[in-house]
Parts: sequence; C-alpha cells; structure tokens
Amino acid sequence: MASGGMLRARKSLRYKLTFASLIATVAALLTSGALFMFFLYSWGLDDMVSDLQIKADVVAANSRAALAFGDTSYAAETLQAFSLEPDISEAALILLDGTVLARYQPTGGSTDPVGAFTGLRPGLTMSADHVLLLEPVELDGEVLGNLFVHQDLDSLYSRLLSYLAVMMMAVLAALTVAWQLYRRLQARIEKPFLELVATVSEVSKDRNYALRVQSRTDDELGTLIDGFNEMLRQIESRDQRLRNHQEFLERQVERRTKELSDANEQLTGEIDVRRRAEAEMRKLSSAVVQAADAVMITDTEGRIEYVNPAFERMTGYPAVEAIGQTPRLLKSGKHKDEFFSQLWRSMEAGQIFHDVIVNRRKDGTEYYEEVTIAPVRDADGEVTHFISTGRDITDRMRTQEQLRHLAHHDAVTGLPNRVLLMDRIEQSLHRARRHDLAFAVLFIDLDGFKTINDSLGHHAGDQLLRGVAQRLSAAVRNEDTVARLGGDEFAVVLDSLRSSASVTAVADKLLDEISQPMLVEGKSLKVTGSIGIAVYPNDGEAVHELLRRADSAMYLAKRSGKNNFRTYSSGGDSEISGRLELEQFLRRAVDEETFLLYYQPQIRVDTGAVVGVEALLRIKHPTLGLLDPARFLPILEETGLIMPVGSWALREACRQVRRWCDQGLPPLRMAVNLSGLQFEQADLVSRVRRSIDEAGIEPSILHLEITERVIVDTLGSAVRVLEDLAALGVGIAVDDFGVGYSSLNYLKRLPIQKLKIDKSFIRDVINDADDRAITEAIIALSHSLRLTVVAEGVETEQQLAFLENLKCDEVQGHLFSPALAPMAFMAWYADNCPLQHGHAASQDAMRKEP
Amino acid sequence: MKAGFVLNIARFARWPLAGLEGREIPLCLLGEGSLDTVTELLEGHLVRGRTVAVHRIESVEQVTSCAIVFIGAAMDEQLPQICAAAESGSTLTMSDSDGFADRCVMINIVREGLRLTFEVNQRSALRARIQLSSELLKLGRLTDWHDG
Repeated sequence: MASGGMLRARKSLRYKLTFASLIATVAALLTSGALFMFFLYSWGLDDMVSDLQIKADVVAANSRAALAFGDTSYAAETLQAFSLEPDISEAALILLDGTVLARYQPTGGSTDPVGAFTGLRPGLTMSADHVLLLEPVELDGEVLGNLFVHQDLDSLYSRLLSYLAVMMMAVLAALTVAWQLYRRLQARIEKPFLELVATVSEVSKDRNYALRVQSRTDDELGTLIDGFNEMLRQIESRDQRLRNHQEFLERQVERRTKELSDANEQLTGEIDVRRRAEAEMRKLSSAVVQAADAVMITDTEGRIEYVNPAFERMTGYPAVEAIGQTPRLLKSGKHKDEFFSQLWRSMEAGQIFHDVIVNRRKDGTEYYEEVTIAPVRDADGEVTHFISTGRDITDRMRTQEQLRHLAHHDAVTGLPNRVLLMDRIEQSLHRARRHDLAFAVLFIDLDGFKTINDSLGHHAGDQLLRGVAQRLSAAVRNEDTVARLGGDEFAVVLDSLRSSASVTAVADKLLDEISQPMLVEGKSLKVTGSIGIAVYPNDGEAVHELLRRADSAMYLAKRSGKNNFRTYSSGGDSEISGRLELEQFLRRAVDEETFLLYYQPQIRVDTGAVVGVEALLRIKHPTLGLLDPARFLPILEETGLIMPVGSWALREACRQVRRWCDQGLPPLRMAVNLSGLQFEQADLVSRVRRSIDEAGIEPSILHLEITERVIVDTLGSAVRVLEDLAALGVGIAVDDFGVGYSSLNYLKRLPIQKLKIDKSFIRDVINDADDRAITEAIIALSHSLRLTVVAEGVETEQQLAFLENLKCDEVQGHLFSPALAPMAFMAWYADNCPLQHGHAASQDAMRKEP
Repeated sequence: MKAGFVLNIARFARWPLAGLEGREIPLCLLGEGSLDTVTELLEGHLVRGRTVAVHRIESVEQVTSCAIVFIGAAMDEQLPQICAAAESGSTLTMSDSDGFADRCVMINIVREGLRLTFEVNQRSALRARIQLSSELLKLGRLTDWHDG
C-alpha cells in the first residue's frame, strides 16, 4: 500500500513535472509566438504602410502633372500603377475642389459614388481590415490635389495566418522535442530521486537502517540524499545504541531475575534451615529449661542473661532477680579473690573452666556447685557469652569433706592433724618463697597434761585439749594454722611474718592463753606450755626440717623451765653463720664465674648407647672441695643467684657441645636444668636462642629440664613459655617427675618429650612396693603419652634390670658414671664407646665402669 | 486658369544657367496678353524654389534677362527675334496664341474644348537648353518642329 501510494505519488509527481515543464514551454512558446505574431503584424503593417506610402508618393509624384494640368486620362494612367498591387482595392486622384480626376477600382464599379475619401483627413487612416491614405500632391509647395488610396489588409492577414500556421507547427515540433528531452533528462534527474524514494519505502517497510542511497548527484537532491544517508546512519547508530542498551537491560533484568530467584532459593533454604534451627533451638531450649543441672548464661562482662528453673531451685533466686546481676550474687566468701581472677583468666583465654565452687543461696546457706563454665562463640569465633552448668554437689562434698576432715583433722579437738599441718607448712613455704616472706612454725607441748589425763581420765583430758585448742585458735589470725599433732602436742603456723619480733609476741600470748585456768568437769585446771619456734627461712627451708627444728627448740624451752619458748636460731646452732658464709662465697663465684659444669651420661637401656649428658652445676670451695649441690642450690634459688648462674650454665653447656664436637665427639644431647626463677624470666626464650646461636649448635641437641613443681606453680604461663621453647626446636623434659603435683591431663597439653623419674623412687624401687608401683605407673604413663622416660639415680644392677624389664627408655646414675668434668667425660667416653659411632658400646663394658 | 498653367508648366522646366539663379525668378510679360490682368495671381508663387517676380517688358532685348517670358498675341511680328533672344538667353517662352508653338514658342497654351492644354516646341526648348520634363512632353501636344 505504501509502495502503491509511492507509485501514485511518483507518477503524479513525474507527470506534474512534465506537465509543468510543458506548460512552461507552451507558455514560453505561445508568448514568444504571440510576440512574434505581434511583431510580424506590426512589422507587416509598417512595411505595408511604408510600401503604400512609397507607392503613393510615386503615384503622387507621377500624378502631379496630371493634376496640374487636369488630365484625366493621364491621371487614370498614373493610377494604373496600382494595378500591380492586389491589395489596393481603390485609388483616386481628387482635385482641390473635390472632384475626382481619376479613380481606380480594380474590383469593378464602386458602389459609393461619393467615395470613401470624403471628409477624410490627409494622412493615414487605419482600420481593422484596411488602410486609407489621403496624400496631398504638391508642386513647388502648392497642393495640386489629393491622392486617395485604399489598401486592404487581407494579404497581411493571410500572410500572418500562414506565419501562424508555421509557428504552430514549430510549437508542436518544439513541444515534441521538449517532451522527449524532458523524458530523457527527467529520467536522469529522477533516478537518484526514485532510488531515494525506493530506499525510503524499503526502510519504512523493513526498518532496515543499514540501507543507503547509492546515487550521487551534486545538486540539492545530492544534499538531500547525503542528509538522508546521514539520518539513516544516525538512526542506525542510535538504533545500535538502543539495541545495545536494550540488550544490556535485558541482561541486567536476567541477572537480577536470577539473583532474585537465587536469593529466593537461598531464602527458602534459609527459612528451611531456620525452621530446623528453630526446632533445634526449641528442643535445646526446652532441654535447657528442663535440665536437671542449673544453667546460667552471662555475657562477656559477666552479666547474667539467662538462668533456668534448675538454677532457680538450686539458688533460691528467681530468674527475674538473677538476670542483670553478676554471679557474685552467689558469692560465699569461701574463695579467695585469686580463685576468681584465675577463673576469669582461664575463661578469657578461651578455656573451659571446671571446678567446684562454694556458693551461697538466697537464704544464706552455702552449697557446693560443680561448675563447668564454657565460652560461647559466634560464627566468627568471637566469645559472646559464657555458659555455666552446675549441679549441687553439697551432699557429696559434705561426705567428702567429712572424710577429708577426718583424714586431716584431729577427732578430739577438730584441729588440723599432722597431715594437714604439713600441707599448710608446705603452702606457707611456697608463699614465703614466692613473696620473699618469713613464717614461723611453733611447736607447743603442754606441761603436765599427762598427769591430768591420768588422774581425771581421758575424757577430762580431751575436754582440756579442746579448751586449749579453742584458746589457741582464738589467739591467732584466721590465716594462721593451729594443729594438734597428737597427745599434748600442738603446732601453730604463723603465716606471712614481717618481723621475728611479732613471733615472740605471739608466743607470749599463746603461753598466756594456755596458762589461763580452765573449768573442766567442775574443776578449775591449770596447765602451761612450752613452745619451740623455727622461722623460715633462717631456721630451715623444708617442712620436716622446720618441724624438726621447732621440735628441738621446744625441747630446749622445756628443758629451760617450761611455760617458756625458744627459737631454733637462738639455740646457738652454728649453721646460720655457715650459711651466710656460703652465700657470700656463691656471690663471688657468680661474679668470677668459677662455677663448673659436670656431665653425667644418659644411656639407652635397650642398646646401651650413650645418647646424651646432663649438665650438673658444681662449685669448688678452696678448703672444702666440691660442695654438695643440695647445700648450695637452695641458696642460689633463695638469693636469686640462680638466674645469672643458670644463664651461664646454659651458655656453657652449649659451648661444651661445640667443643666436644670440635674434639671429635659425636653430637650428644645436652640436658640443662632450668630453675623456677629462670623459667619465669621474661627473656628466657631469647636467652636460650642466643646460647644456641652463639655456640652454633643444632637446637634439637639442647634439652631443657624443668621440674614438675615449677610447671605446676607457673601453670598458665608455663604452657606458653614451653611452647615458645619448643618452637625454637629444643627438647623439653620434666624433671623430678612423680613427686605428685601434676595431673595427667596437664601433661598432655605440654610440648614435652621426656619425663625423668625422681631419684627418690628409684632408690627404693627394689624394696618399696609403693615406689615400685609409682615407677611402673610413670613408665606406663610415659609410654601411653609417647614420652621418653628416663630413670635417674640408677646405682645397682637390680635397679637397671627392673627398669629394663619395664622398658624404661633411658637411665643415668652412678652405675654408669657420676657427673664428670669435661675432660674426664671425654676419657670415659673414649673408654666406654671405643667405636664412638652409635650403638657399639656394649652394656657390659659400661656396667663395669660405675 | 492660365496663370496656374503658366506656373505649373514653369515648374516642370529646368534652366541650364546658374547665373540666373537668385531669390527671384523673373517672369516677363511681353506684349499685351491675357496675363496682364492676373499678374497678382502669379506674383509670389514659387517655381523651382524661387519666387515668381512679374516684370513688364517692352523690348525684345529685355527677354534675355527673363527666365520666363509670356508673349502676347500682339507680338506676332517680332516673334522670331523674341524666340532667338529667348533661345540665346535660355528663357522659357510661353504664349496662348494659336500657331505660336509651331513658329518657335516653346509652350503655347491652347483651349481644347472646355479644358486647357498646351503645345510644346521641344526644339526651341532644346535650343534654349531648357529641359522640359517628360510629363510636360507627355501631356503637351508636341509640334513638328523645323527650322524656322
């Protein structure tokens, strides 16, 4: 339809153009024709008139004579000259008086006798179909008469008609030629136009904007085509951009749709997960609600966020009261602050706390709760809450407590018994060592008690003892301990003393209390007491030692007259001065580095090979010779000298490894003892590394031995320090193992390779069933923990055979060799390990050389 | 009528001499004649561009000074002398007396019926070296001329 319209339009336009051109042509031709005809006419008329004038002039001239002399015939004769002119229809010569001298009428007789000339003015008179001329004939200025000529225009008109005919033919021919020319020329002009139109129609039909009009013309149509092409190009490019944009949008929509559906799916999945999680949560929360154990959830600040019904039952606090509070709500005061700070430390370290806590209910009663507190972490591993589950184990604890109380307390007075006293002294000893404090052990014996007991019966005796116990307990501070050792013997531990003067004051007070009369079974009884005092550290550094010395001081007091007290140091013992002297000697030795290291070999039990040595500290006294380590080591520990000495020993041992290597010995494992003080040094790890680096030895050569006691005392930091040391590559052994401090769980968490059984067990391993059992247990434990186990202090073949039987890994002791100076060790090694390399040394050879 | 004839004839003639040319063309009347009463009809008209001046002459000798001489019938006797003088002086001779043309007058006006006509003695005119137009010759009646 569009093309049909186009076609029509094209036709119409084409014909319009042609028509217009032809109209213009015709108009031009007609105008020029009309002009031409007009000029032809006017020219023809002019010609005719001038011709007529000329003829008339001639005739007039010729007719002068005729007129002058009135000669009619001659006049007629002259008029006959017009006979050659067919257009002259009438001519006449008229005299002045109006008479016609002669008349010429070629077409026959005139119908007008008067003549057309009457009243005619001289000159030309024009009319449509004729021209009249009245010309005066003059002779020498005198008018003789007039010549009248009538000329028809017929010939002019007929000539014009023939011209017109010719012209019309010419116009027709011109039109024909023009028509053909237009057709040809128009085709040329039209061609690009038609192409443009065709392209337009194609573009409008197909929306194909890649089309272009190919024709090139240098006219306005060319501009139009260029414009159209440019327009197409722009449309095309815009189209392309639109398409690109649309594709982009479609992709975007597709992507969004996918994202949405993904999100939807994910959401559905999440909803599912959440539904399950909710069910799980409901299950869990109802489990928590209905749990028999008390559950308490706090935030990281310790504020209670949730408690369950079991908690309410156990504590007596309803949830509304507990929430928002801290667990201090339940505090009984039975634990020291240290306990709680430890609790917080372990929780902050992310560890699970498990212990028994004494708490207080709302009604004020105390109860034992076995608590497990665990951190609750979010998805990022961040601790957000703590959950505490606990159960009331008061009944169980009470039973245990009773049992323990029975085990640790005196049945008569309720005071701690000897066992507990020893423990308390041990604790005081620890505290005193750590805090550099003094404490005193007072040994009290009642004077004359035996007499009362014998005379009044043991019932009264017991009553008296209970009374004394009460008074003693009342006389000392809470942190002090009053114990009954048995019979009429009591002991008091005065903890954390600041001066020895306070000890004597307390002793006086105690004597005073004891000597107060006491009402027993209606009788007023009076006893006195004798007190012996041993003060740590002056009078001893071990539990038994202090007790023994307090005991001996008590005997001194008794001997010196009862109701009296004596201190051990005041008893005149010379040990104190000897100790001071020794301390000074040691200080000098530290300054002068005159300490020595002796090396005791460690031997594999199964192969008999020397696998390492233990470096042991020695010092030579100028007069006393080698000093007993048991004597000088405690002093080094107490004075802190052990730190520089220990550092020196570490360096020296490493250097010795290097020296032996240089002297041809194979690299032997070097075990070096670390004291507790050293272990607490902040720069221990870097010191160890420096020693290794300085000597240029393999870190794995070095083994550090740390006593079980030290590890237990430093508990939290021990793990970290040991891990740092292990990271250096050095081996770690637990020394003096089995004394009874460690738990097996603890061992598992430490990066240790080796356990050394304390020599006290080995010494009696053959005769003492307990020691044997302990030794067996330690070896089994080591194997189960994949630890190497070393037995120290092996002195007999029986001991070795026993250990070998238990598959103890390594041994050391006088059976093989005492600790030796470096050179002596070289010699020993050469004798016992002639092949030097590996396993060659026979066990027999080694056993023969104790 | 005759006066107009005279003028018209004169107008068809051509004189040879330039010496006679002037503003005026002298027309002489010799002898009593029919023109005497109509001299005013002649006076002032143009012949060949010159104004006609009518003179009355009495003697034959005066003829030579005229361009035209009209000879009256009374001069019959003296006609040869007059003609001779006219021929020598290139004077156009005219008359209106019968037979004069046959004698020697160049133009002699005659009545022929109701109309006037004239006779032309071309021989005399040739002698006087006066050229008469062919029209005159055609309109006028030519006389046989001979020496006369």
